[in-house]
Amino acid sequence: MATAVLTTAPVKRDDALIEEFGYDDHFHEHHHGDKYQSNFVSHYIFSQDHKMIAKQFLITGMMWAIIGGAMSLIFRMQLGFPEESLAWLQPVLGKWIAINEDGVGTLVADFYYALVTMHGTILVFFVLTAGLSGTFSNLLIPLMIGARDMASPLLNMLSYWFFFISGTIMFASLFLSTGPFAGGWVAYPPLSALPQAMDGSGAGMTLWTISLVLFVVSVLLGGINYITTVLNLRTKGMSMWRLPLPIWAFFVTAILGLLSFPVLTSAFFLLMLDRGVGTSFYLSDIYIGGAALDHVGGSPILYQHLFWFLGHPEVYIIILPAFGIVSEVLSVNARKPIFGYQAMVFSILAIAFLAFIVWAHHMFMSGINPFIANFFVIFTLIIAVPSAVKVFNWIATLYGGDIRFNPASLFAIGFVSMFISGGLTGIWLGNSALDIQLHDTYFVVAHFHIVMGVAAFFGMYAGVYHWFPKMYGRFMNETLGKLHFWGTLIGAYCVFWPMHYLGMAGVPRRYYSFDNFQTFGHFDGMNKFITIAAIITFGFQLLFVINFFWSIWKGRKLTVKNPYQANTLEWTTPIETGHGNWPGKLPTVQRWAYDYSKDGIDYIPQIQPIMEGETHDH
Amino acid sequence: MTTLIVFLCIALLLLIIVQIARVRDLAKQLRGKEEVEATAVASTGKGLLVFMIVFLVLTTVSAYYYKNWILGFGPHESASLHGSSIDSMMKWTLGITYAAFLLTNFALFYYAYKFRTRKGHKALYLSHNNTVELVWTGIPAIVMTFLVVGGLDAWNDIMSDVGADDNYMEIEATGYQFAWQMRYPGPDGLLGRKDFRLITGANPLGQDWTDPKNHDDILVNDVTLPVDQKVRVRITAKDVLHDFYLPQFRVKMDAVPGLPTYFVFTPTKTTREWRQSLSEYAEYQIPDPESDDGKELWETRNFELACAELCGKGHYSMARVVTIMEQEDFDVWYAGQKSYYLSNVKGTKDDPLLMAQVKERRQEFTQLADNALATPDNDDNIITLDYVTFETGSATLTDSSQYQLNDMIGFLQSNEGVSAMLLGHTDDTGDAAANLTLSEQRARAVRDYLSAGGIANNRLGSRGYGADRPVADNATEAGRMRNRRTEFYIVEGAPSEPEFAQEASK
Repeated sequence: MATAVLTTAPVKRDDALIEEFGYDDHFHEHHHGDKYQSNFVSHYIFSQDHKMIAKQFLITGMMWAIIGGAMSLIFRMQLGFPEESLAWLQPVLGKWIAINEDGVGTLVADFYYALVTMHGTILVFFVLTAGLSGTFSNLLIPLMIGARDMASPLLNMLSYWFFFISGTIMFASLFLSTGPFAGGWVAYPPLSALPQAMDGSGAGMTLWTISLVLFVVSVLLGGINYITTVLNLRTKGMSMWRLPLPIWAFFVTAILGLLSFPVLTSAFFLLMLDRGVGTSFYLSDIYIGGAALDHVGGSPILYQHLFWFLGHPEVYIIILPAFGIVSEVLSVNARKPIFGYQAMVFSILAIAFLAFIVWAHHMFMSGINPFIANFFVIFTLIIAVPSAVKVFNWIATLYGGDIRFNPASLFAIGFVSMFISGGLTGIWLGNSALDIQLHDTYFVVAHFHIVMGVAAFFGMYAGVYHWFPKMYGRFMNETLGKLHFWGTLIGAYCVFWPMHYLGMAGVPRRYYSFDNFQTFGHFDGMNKFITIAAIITFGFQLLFVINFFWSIWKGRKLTVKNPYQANTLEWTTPIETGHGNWPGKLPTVQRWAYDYSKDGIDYIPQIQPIMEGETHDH
Repeated sequence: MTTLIVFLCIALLLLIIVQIARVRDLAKQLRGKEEVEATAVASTGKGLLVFMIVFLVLTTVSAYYYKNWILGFGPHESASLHGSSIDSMMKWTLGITYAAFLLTNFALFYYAYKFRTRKGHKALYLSHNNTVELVWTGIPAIVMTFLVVGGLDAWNDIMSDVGADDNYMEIEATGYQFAWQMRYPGPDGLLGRKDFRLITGANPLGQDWTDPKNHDDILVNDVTLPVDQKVRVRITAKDVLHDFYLPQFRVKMDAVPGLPTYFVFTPTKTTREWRQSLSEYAEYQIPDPESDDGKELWETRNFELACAELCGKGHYSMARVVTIMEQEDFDVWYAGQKSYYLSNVKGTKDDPLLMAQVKERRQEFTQLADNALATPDNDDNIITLDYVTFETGSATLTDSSQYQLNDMIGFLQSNEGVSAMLLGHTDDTGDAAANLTLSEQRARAVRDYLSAGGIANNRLGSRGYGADRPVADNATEAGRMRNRRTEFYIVEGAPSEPEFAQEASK
């Protein structure tokens, strides 16, 4: 094989390189007429093409984000402006707005808790798990590793449709006369187990559980597929150590999901048995609604162990894909290799491993043996080390770069800031002694919203802005994108930063009103501020939605295959990427993904063979 | 209508923004891409720099502004012994994380600004540096070790249970939808046994009254504790999870149905002392809007107990006042509390001890009555009703008489052919005529009770004898007590008086 000569730019066009070095898998001889996308239904609805499924996940996730975000605005209005009338929401919310004799409408407490619960469930599972990992794992895994599609396109399609059914059931629960489930997204029994404990714990909880079990099926089908694809369908030359960082992140995320979600399902099955069959896994010594129940011998803490065995890895399932996306976007836009590629991979692996042995840090105050907390404190605070390494490496990636500012890179930079701000408060909460004071206060709300809510959204936005041209062959509007970035960065900090102070003042979360307490009642002004900031920030997200849909049809067209001069394989596919991704041979990989500015050459794609005189560095 | 206008305005605004954005992107094509991009890069870079400065300044200033509301600072230094170790741990953590926050955010935005793309500017090729990476893995590791050791040291100290020879008082807090119930031990210093199956309206905690430790237990709503006294709070829940949360004392622990938890702490400030310390801060020198007589905030503040685990729609309303007193004030308060058992349960139908006695008495009564029927001789047919009593000087039956009266009804119902004569007696104090009337009325009252209980009137009779038929010496109080009595005379067929031929019956 000929060795190319070192020049200032890639010597040959992509097509020629693929033609010369590519690998012929005779794909197109077997797929005549492209039966996968032959009509509307098989192209847009029951599609088995990973790129279409990615779009389905993304758009469904966006719908859910709007619903879940709007819910948070409603309960924020009640919290920030309890005296103002919400009567104007009655046409939508009906009996959940109680109107007093003066005509002032208030959100009823039952529904306040239902909204809080739904907001959490929707954002954690439907938006940040399905919408983020579902979208980008599907879109990028085959494209970046040089595969025609997922290992099993059928399972991939089923993964989306299970998600869809799961969402439909959850949506239906919003219309129950007793309301959707209202006992918090963690659904701790006995509250979630006993219909007499709360209206939402009746039919609402039944639908909630069914919906989430189906959701787990979706995650598992997707996860098995992602893992199999990454392990088996990498193109020639794509060794694990040449994988772009997003792929590492999606791969490890899928493993996390595969190992932890089934435990959640078991927790739910036991809960269903307690609810429906009269078993006592989680219930004991309960007197409620004027009667002592027969349940004896169960422990509510067992549920918490099972739940958080998923629940903690879940936050990494949410944030790891964002890690990967941000690493890639920062590297491409800084025109520099990601700093410390191996350290980045090892820190992802370390975080993923530690994710499984820290779950009880959510339970320091739950009545577990205080001695046990010692182990969980140690492992939890160890996570700060790989996390810090990642932050330093991102900053070092910017150092000495030639940074392009576009919405994607700005959101990636914003992500790092959010991850720092939210990650550092994790050091507070992971320390059990401080958790005595901070557990279940607004400090926790501030922490997890910044570190896995806002940060993950920033990662998602970075990804959408960056790969939108790959998805739709057009660019999103850059001005709107930047406006969206500034509004979101400033807005999100305005919403969540003050919550630290609320939490440090001891204000508990999940309070419908603070009027009953002197201690918590001093912060009316701050609550108003947060609410207003939330409404404005939400408004900026609508800009994104408009920009997104407008750009699908009207955005500036992509005229070159590789608009960012990026190294990874997805940019060697045609602008209109058909089924099978590459029209002819599959590209083969000759190097890692991060040869930016090496030897004075702006970028060297992965398909470019090692050139004569090239420094041997990586 | 207003809603519609608001929506239209928002829609219009969005439309305008979108149009402006489109125009800008088009202008970029016209004016020459490079020039426009260079200005955009410069302004975005400056934007990031300005954002960084404003952000870091605002977060710092706002933290300073709120410090007097924050637990651990100024007026909110911990009011408990262990709390100060949490406060100091928190300040260490704050210092360390704040430094990291400033440095990393500064580096992030400053580098983004400094290394923005410019014409002729090239990026470095810098893929890794083992020394640097080792340093920034090592430093966090060392800092974390420090925090872990400090944190766990405090944690294990705080969470350790009371030792065998500690001097402490134990109280119990029970959460339920949606309030807290506090239980204090009585003079025995011990809390009695409880069982959720015993819970009723009259026994809110399900205390087992057969456990004598329960008899002096005190139930109150609010928390009152002496200062500088170690307290072990036993925390329980009746229905769902709750969380016993005392913000000012750094106390927080879930209340779990079926699994009692505990928290040990020592209050170090009385409510009065705390208010005094609040009075020094401007934040608390404003009038309290809740107060009618123009008091300032610091004068009306109380320590509070809250719930910190979502427990249903009333979760936000589980407020109780916590009062910390000097020991002597506490002793006065404590002495004024009444045992729940003695004031609400004893002698009522909820008292299992009384019920056990009633059962015994019933057996005794049934035994006597059956014996009376079994023997043809009439002599033992008179049964003294020891547990049928009257209010002093009146013919009103006492509450506790109902049990033996019901036993009589039961007996008469199961022996259809039997009639009963009620015989009233008094002691010899006071006027003889009045005594006779009272004894008649009392016998009549018993008869009426039986009649109301479903026994046919033709099976009942009554008669008063005043002080004529004593069974003991009227000279002693014990004797007079025995003489004041009602008797139940059983006969086959119609009711009739006993023949007192020989002498007074037994």
